[in-house]
Amino acid sequence: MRPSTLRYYIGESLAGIRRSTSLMSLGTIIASFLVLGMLGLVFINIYHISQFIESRVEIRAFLKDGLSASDIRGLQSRLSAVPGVKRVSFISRDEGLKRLKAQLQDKRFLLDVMEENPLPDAFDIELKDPRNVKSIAATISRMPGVDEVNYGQGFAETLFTTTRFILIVSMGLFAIIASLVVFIIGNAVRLSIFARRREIEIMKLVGATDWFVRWPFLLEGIMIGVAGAGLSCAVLVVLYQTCLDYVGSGMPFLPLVSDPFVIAATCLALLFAGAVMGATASWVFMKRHLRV
Amino acid sequence: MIRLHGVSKIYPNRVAALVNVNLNVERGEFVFLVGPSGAGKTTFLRLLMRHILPTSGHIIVDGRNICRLRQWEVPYYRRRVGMVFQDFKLLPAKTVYENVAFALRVTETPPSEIRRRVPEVLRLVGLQDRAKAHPADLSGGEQQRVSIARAIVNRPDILLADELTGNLDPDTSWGIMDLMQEINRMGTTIIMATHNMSIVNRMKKRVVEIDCGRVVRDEDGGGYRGEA
Repeated sequence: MRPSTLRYYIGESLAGIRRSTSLMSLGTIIASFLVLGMLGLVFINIYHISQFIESRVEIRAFLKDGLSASDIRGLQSRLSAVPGVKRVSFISRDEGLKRLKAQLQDKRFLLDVMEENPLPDAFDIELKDPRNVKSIAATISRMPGVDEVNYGQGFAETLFTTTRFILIVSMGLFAIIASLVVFIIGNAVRLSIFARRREIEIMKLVGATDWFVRWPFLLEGIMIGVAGAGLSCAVLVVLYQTCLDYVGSGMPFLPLVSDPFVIAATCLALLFAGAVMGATASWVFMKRHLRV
Repeated sequence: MIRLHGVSKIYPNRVAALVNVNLNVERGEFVFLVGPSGAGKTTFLRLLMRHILPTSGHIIVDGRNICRLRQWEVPYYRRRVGMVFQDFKLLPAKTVYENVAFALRVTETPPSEIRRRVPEVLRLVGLQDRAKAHPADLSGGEQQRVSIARAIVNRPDILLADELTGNLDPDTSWGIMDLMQEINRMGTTIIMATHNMSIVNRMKKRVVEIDCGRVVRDEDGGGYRGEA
């Protein structure tokens, strides 16, 4: 491609944008990308939090009273052999009590009323994939010597179904917003095509190639998409920083993603989505309105 | 150079615009296409532009059947065929110079070549002093000269004209016809559809008369109405 041709394409695209993109439509596009970006960040954070929680999902198996040391060793090796188990560590009843006291802190008096340690010996079982917690817990509970298992029954499952639900809703929202953006950009491109229909007619008459006619419109869509996405990125970064500051001071236990690399990647993804949506919009509307 | 073999064009609404047309046009010829409105003259030109395809028959230009051109080849074919219209089809927002340069720009001609060829062709059509004017500032004859300049700036082998004097007064028309003859003398084959009886009668060129889609007369040096 000649530099003069490239200059021509870009010049025509910019002229097209000036002519047919209103502040209103650009505003709508920015708002749409902002929603998409927020959706992305919300999802990344939910994923991050659920990973964080998942990494802490473990099974505690309480043992029956009166097991001998060799029984306990045997049980430990059998537990380690269960598929999906990563690590098994023994928590003696004394150790368990110490940890419980540490957790209860100022409510320690609750334990003081008891004369002896109420806790049984136990195993803490870490899993390779926390998603298998239910079936592994069932297997373990059937083992001889195991009295009871505890893995926060219900909580882990709720977490997994909630993240899946949010993922599906996000994808649905993404589809709706993406088609809105495609429609707005496509409409701007349609106006441009209409404004330049005489030029297009003459271009075809004097032997311009189909792609020579198409490129400025394709570029126009891509430019609008990228510009909208870029501006919304700027807003998004500021909003997210504010949100991080707020959560950081108000709810410090919530592990939000603050890695600048992740935020930059989100912005890049948004810009890429803008380019793809713009190109799609141009393409679809050119197919309908540009007879080359 | 141009050969039509049994060319028919029937539009989807079943109007038969051309019926079994056979015609040869040699390189460098000047041919008038005459006949009443709706006879099929414009269809003839649109077929040669490869704007439309014939329902049956072949159109051979320079040894190539243009009906078999692939989609991507069509623009390159059109660069060898200039076309001028009764309504000029100029871009009102562009100057005379830009209108002519447009045809070169959109066919990806190098800028240096554009700067050389546009003034050259404007001189040929006698508009070298009007380069910066806009079409609205020009007379009808001047506008038609711009559109001719645009049609020939790519140096086509063939120039097609559809009623190009249709909107012009007789004196202006003669100026345009002198220009067409000049272009023809430089080697360009010209096919010109017209209703202008006096021009056809005076220029004594080949005349092809079409009526109801059929070639009813093909005569060298003929007049608008034939011998009668």
